[in-house]
Amino acid sequence: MATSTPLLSVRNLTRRFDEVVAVDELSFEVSPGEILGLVGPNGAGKTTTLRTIAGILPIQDGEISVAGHDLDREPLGAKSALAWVPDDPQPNENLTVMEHLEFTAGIYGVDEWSALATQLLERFDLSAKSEALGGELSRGMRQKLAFAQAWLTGPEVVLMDEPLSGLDPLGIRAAKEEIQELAANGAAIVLSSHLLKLIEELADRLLIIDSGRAVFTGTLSEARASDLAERGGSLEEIFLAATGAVIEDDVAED
Amino acid sequence: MGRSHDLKTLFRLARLHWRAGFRKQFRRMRTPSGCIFGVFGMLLIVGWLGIMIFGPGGGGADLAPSDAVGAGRGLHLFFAQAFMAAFCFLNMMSAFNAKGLYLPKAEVQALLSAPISTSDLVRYRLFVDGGKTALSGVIFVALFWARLPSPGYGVIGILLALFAITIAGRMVSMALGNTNLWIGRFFHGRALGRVGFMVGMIVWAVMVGFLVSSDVAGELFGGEESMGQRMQAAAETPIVVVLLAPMRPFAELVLAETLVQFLTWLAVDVALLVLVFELCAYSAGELREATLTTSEELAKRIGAMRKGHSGLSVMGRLGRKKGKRVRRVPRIFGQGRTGTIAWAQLVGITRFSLATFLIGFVVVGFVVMISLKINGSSEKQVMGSSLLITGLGTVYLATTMRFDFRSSLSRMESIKSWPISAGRLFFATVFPQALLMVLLLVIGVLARTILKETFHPVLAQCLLLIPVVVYAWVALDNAVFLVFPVKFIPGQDGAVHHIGRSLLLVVLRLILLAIAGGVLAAVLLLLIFVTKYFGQDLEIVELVAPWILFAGILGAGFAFTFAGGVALRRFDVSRQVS
Repeated sequence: MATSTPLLSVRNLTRRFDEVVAVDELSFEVSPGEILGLVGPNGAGKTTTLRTIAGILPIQDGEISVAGHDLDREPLGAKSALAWVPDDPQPNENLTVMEHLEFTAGIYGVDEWSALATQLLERFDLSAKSEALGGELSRGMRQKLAFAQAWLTGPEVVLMDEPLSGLDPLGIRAAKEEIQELAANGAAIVLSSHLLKLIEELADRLLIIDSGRAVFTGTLSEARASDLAERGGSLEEIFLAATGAVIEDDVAED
Repeated sequence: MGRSHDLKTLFRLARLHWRAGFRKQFRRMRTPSGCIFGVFGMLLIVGWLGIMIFGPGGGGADLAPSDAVGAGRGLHLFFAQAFMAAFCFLNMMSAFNAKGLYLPKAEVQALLSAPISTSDLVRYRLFVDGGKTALSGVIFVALFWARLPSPGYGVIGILLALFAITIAGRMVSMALGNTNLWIGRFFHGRALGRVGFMVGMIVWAVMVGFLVSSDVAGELFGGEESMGQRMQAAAETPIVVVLLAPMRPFAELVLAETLVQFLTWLAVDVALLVLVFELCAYSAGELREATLTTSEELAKRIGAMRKGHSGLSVMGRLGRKKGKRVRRVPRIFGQGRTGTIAWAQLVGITRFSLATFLIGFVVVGFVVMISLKINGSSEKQVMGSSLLITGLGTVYLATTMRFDFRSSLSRMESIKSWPISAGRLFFATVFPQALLMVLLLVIGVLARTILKETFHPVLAQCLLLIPVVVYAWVALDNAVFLVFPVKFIPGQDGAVHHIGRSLLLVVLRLILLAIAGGVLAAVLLLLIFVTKYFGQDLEIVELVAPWILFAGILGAGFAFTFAGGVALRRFDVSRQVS
């Protein structure tokens, strides 16, 4: 894990939907080669945070910098350095898998894309589907295509929202290896998931949010050394303690 | 669980569906804007039905040609039977798209796994269909109200006829999906949607051919000249009498004039309905496999329509053999970001283009037909007819073609993360569709010119104006859509509310267009004023006016593109769209 200038910097990010504050003064940084695990209960503001960083939602309050580009002032520079893997990718139903990669190369200005695209299709086990239309892909295939599209652009920052949904065990293993390799090559990765085992396995640092606010930021070892590990040292116990979740056994004991 | 208990449960389910439908409708009307949309929608529907019943047409459609009206009850009976038969035939053809028993996606697994007999499932489905038929029957009633000898009796006749036709369609779809029958085994695993569509088209073409071509009809029915005489001859042909016989009891009820006639035919029709209803339920057979396939396919089709695709293009897409290689579409818009997005849109247009082009040509053909009513070849007449084709065609084509942001709603999350400015993204998304519309409209204008032989130099100016007019409207249409992403899908919940909202948004588009037109008119008036003020000849204004018009509409196109870009930037992907 590197500790140089952060590739992603989020400062005091706040996002409201009418009266509801979805993200509240959230700040964090991700350095090159680092994987940040973003966890929180349903409705904590994880997806809203990621969507705002990806430029999908406008910034209401706060600042976001991606690879040195201010997202508000230089959105195109920031977006060019960033790849977004949504939780339920929706490919274009009319384009083939290979054409999706051609399209992504065109949008992100990747010149020599063809050889890399073929390679990525092999790595993500999509070679046999290269002529299939987007509308014909299964949930897992769509997810793999989203990975291949993200990897093709050579991103400096990658945002992933529940990236392993729909993948088979083989796909999960391949995806985990690819994510680790991408980080090893210097990309800053934000990984949001409810699969705490996955976060435990891949993430260098943790950001636990609840009701839009950060309730813990640090490494897993730091979490284990904190008060949050009173009930146990697993990420599950830490998560439950951090988000104030009450489990039935505790209530019974009280 | 006994049979009566099964049916009670299923009918309860149907009642819950109806209640949920009404609840959704009323929930949408709880907010002030929802209430306005709902009331507006209701007024539109009532107004439309009112015009059909009491409007200048006095009951709207008259099936009988003008020289056949008043030709006696026999001919009216023939027209009623023929209309019912045609509708029944279409209904049976649509059954090719739904082998087995269609059940909604949310229910199919639960109902097939529940301890309910297939016959009861059929009864339940027919019961639900009956309710829907009664609703759609209102339109037919309005359409023919003033033509019925006794509307009170006729209405009952129309509703019973529609229900019988619906059951006939179901019987066909069940026979095609029943693997206990040879027909079901023969068609097992075969996609029949295209077969039904093609057979339907061919039969319609033959029917229209018989009616339109006097040579064919004349040869077959004795060389009569007029449409009414030809119909009369057709009505007396034995084969036609036999083919239309099943419709006779329902046609008699629709045209009943006395209470005795009404009660007699009502008894006959109800008995017939009960008979076919029970026959349909008892002959259900083994339908599970076909039912599952059909329900899944229709769910996919509904899902695709919700994403903005037209029904026919969805059929083409679903009918494609998986893994089959597709044609490569060249990147004619360049390799840059804008060109890449426009290329992806073009792929969407060309890959499943048959249905789109078919609809496009029908729309343009329709407006060209309307424009043929303008006679003469003077400058004003040529310009008027060209502008009529352009104006009407643009609005209709923009509504029917959906290769713009309407088909991109489900992908807005990805789209907004692309590194391209919102204005360029907006332009690239709508441009290919505008180009296709321009192509169709230019063909339309030229076709009219050739048909009417009205070649005039002003035609060149009109052709030049088409691209800017089309682009300006498409840009405006999409800019408004991005602010209010409302898509009307037939059969969606809260339809009254959606109709009102959709129509109000069309009005909003027209108001915005009128504002742009007003600014342009003001510029032209200013020019006339300045010309007069300086004592110059108004011929100068006449000379430059078309170019000012061109530049003005082009400018409006730019302004709408800018507005579209702003709307795209502000588009909130987290809001619910429907």
